[in-house]
Amino acid sequence: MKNVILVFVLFLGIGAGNGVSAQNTELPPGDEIIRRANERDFGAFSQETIHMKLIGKDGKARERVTRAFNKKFGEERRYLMVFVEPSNVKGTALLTYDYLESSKDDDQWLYLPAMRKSRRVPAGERGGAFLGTDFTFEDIKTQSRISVEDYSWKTLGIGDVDGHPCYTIEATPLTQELAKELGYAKVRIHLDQELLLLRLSEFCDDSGEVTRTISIRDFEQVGDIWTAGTLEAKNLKTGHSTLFTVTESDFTTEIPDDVFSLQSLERGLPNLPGRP
Amino acid sequence: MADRNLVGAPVPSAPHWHPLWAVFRAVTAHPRKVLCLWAVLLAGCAALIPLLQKDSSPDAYIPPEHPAVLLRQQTDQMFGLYDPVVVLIDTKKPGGIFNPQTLNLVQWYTKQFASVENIDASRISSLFTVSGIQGKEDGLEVAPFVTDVPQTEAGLAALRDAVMDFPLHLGTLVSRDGSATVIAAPITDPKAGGRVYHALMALTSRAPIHGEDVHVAGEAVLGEYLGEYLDKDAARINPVVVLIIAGVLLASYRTWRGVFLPGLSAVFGVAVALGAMGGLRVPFTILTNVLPANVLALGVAYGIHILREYYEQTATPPGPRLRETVVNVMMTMRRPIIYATLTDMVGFLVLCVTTHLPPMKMMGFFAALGIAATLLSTLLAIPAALVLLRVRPSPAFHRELRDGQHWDRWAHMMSLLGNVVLRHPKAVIAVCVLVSAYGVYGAGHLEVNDDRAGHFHASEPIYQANDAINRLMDGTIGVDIVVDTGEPEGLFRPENLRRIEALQEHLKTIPHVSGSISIVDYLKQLNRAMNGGNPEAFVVPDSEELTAQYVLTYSFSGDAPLGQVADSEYRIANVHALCNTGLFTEIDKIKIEIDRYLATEFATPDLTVRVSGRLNVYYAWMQRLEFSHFLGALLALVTVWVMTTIGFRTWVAGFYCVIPVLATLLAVYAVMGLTGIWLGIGTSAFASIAVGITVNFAIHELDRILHLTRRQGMSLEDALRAMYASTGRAVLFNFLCVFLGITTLTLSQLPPLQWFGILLATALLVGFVTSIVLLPALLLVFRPRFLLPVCARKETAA
Repeated sequence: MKNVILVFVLFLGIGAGNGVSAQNTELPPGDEIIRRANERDFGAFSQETIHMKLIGKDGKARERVTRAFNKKFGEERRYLMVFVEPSNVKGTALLTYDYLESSKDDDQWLYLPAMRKSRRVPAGERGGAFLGTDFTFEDIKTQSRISVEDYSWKTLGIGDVDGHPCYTIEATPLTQELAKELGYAKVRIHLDQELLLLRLSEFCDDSGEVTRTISIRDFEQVGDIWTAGTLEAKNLKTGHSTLFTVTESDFTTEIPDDVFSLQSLERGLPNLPGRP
Repeated sequence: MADRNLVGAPVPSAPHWHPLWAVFRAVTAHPRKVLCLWAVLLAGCAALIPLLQKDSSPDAYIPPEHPAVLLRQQTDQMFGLYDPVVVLIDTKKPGGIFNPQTLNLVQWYTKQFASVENIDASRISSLFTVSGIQGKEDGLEVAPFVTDVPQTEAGLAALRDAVMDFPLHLGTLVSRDGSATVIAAPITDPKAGGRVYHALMALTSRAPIHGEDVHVAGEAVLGEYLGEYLDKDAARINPVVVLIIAGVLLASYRTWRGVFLPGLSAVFGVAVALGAMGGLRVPFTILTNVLPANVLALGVAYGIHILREYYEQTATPPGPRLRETVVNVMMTMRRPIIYATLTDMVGFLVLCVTTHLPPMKMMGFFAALGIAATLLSTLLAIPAALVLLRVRPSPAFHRELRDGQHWDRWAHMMSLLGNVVLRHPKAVIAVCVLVSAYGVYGAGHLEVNDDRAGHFHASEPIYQANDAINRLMDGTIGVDIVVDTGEPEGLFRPENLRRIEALQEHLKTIPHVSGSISIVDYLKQLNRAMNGGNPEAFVVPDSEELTAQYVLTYSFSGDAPLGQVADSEYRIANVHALCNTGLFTEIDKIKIEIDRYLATEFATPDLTVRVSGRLNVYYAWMQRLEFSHFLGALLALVTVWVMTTIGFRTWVAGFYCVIPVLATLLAVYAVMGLTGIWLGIGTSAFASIAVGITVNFAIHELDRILHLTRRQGMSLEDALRAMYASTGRAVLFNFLCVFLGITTLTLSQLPPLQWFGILLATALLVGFVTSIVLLPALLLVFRPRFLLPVCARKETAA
């Protein structure tokens, strides 16, 4: 299984000009829209700050702040996420090598400052909770590119999300095993008709009931790249929700290669020129 | 005045105003209208019966607002806990479950679970879905123990080592000796437990089993499975009750009206009770399952006495006009019948007041309602029907004419019994005193106990499955100890973790608590895994930061079981322990010991602790059972004493009525104490009901005796002889109806109902015997003054 994780920088990402004309009356097939959405430039490198807010059913919230870096290395991407807050996890860092070949699992190493050691850690299942949030590893992956080959696609029509006309596309996992792995039977995704940005996902169980939603808001264009400011996942079964707020996105400051090495993992937060 | 006591003075044929006399006149004047109204009411109530809804869940036995229930709901919600449906696979093969065939079976069930309707496929727990936390030389691995069944000895051995080296799942996922494992999952619809159970049993019938024992159980299916028994019981018991009662009624009067009039009156009472329950959406539970048999059996008794008087009055020529005769019959019997009804109702209403168990409250209330409806039907519909029917004598009253009364073999039998009592009253009293003394001794050995699994017969597969889980795994009854540190991330503090660890160590020392799991176990396992799997690192992390970072590390795996042991803020921990017994006496000890430990070791302001879980709910069930049982019995005794005192206008007469009842209760306690029958959820209802029913025998007898001595001036001996042949005979049939009706409960497939039936039937038997022999014997020996006519008493006093 291929896990693409920690792609916060790619929550965004779509080159301006990839949009589909809102005036088009012919609705293109779902897989074609998805392929177009996947044809985007994520940039060679980026860094940003992510505020994670985990909100329980009772309204109580836990917050974490991380600084995330990524860089393309040939056919693979490498990610580094360093926790800044709360203080008891400050300096905890996760380094991920995301390989293009789907047959090859991601490699992940974790550095725990309290142990002063780094350890290889397993990558999570596609349908598993991402860092204990209401996002799954698959959600994070689909923010950047959606596996067209894993689903059957159907364009349901054009709807409206937060005042933006969106393609409403239904994706059904091709096999029962895959559906089980992903944790849902169907997903309805709403892609901005003009910019092809993912604005809303609705995950359904076997009975067709929506059990989880992800809404993405506050898009901002940084250079040529659109980046999302807010991502909110709501588990309608548990009442739990997670809010990601992305700030200080930087697609211009070059990140040295050695930032993504095991040695630098133990050095803590990289001190880069672009870092605020 | 005779009208003011229970003495049923015959009403003169001349108009004699009395509210009930006016009612009976009106009823007999418009019999068809009365019967039409009766039929409409019966149909209306019967139409509501299909609205009845079953509730056989364990939580039905305790008020929904009870702190134990609310706390359990809160705990379940906070930690995502659920009652699972469980398949247990047990094998005697060498190496336990770690062989290809058994593992294939586990894998097969894991896959098949997902296809069973109403099983939450996303939360199936088995060796093939649950992750282990293992340390490698270079890092950590969180992955299911097995995805494909190993085919080599080395692969099987590696799997066995991995599983048996992971203490968190031992006793819950795999037995501690490796001989058994479970596949478990929550069900999505609590009402579908029975269907899920049958679906899994059907799966089991075609499972690739190679010598393994497979059991299907779990709290999720237990309640609904029990619910299926309700239908089976109702289908089995109710027709038998009807047949038996009809048989006794037929034997009693050998006429169809003797069968149908009392029978239909009782059916009316049952319809009102069940219709009201259906209309008011009151759930039908295991305990309310006894209601129809009780109301039927008791209800026909009122009609029996009415018909006895009717046949006696119509058999004596020359009789008055039929309408006058019927009014006379009703006026003669009104007081004993009303008092008998009220005392029957007392037994059930006292239960309603004193018990803390909602199903028993409901059973008490609606049975009392059914009895009241039966009384109404007896007082209105029976006289209406009697004036429409042509007078036909009962063959049972034409066998023999003696002393102006028509005796049959039953009357002879009762008369013979009376002669024995008349000859040896002191001996009768002595025997009863001995039995009662023995009862006091037996009551001292009474054991208050119950076992939820004991609600099924030992031969039932679900009983055996429950037993196997308790034997092979950590158990079936959960206890959750919720530790609140009072601050977010308070669980990261080593000192708090060590106190939870000490609590878990103490839990291990309590008998029947087989194991427990908490966040401490996960952190110790993570610590070990992050230290290359070194067993010596299976300890609590020594700093708050390290714990926080371990928790974060675990979240990278995508596995989320920490939610079952800690809240989202890591402020509150849940220590989940399992007990391998359902015996309430043991549960009581476990709860007391846990409370004692928490009171001494957690008596600090920084931590607050609460005990929750199924164990706590069961504990709450039983807490007031003994108290409410004896309170109910006492209250019923006092109430019937007050009622009979008012009715007979002397507390002494009330006392004489209560003595046989008290002797009855003591005799039943003796049986319970000496045979080891528990005072449990099902059996605890018998006492107050028995008081209400058995006192009727004494009321009818004393009423007749008083009538004969005070109104007709007979000597006590003559009055007793006459009473045995007439009222004694009716009391015998009254007893037979109720006794045989209640005895049908022993046909239930549910042991608690069987025991309830046996105890109540025993009480009725003893109550009948003591009333028919002890009461007359006491009267003969002590000759109370209230037996004398008023004038004689005045003379004696002068």
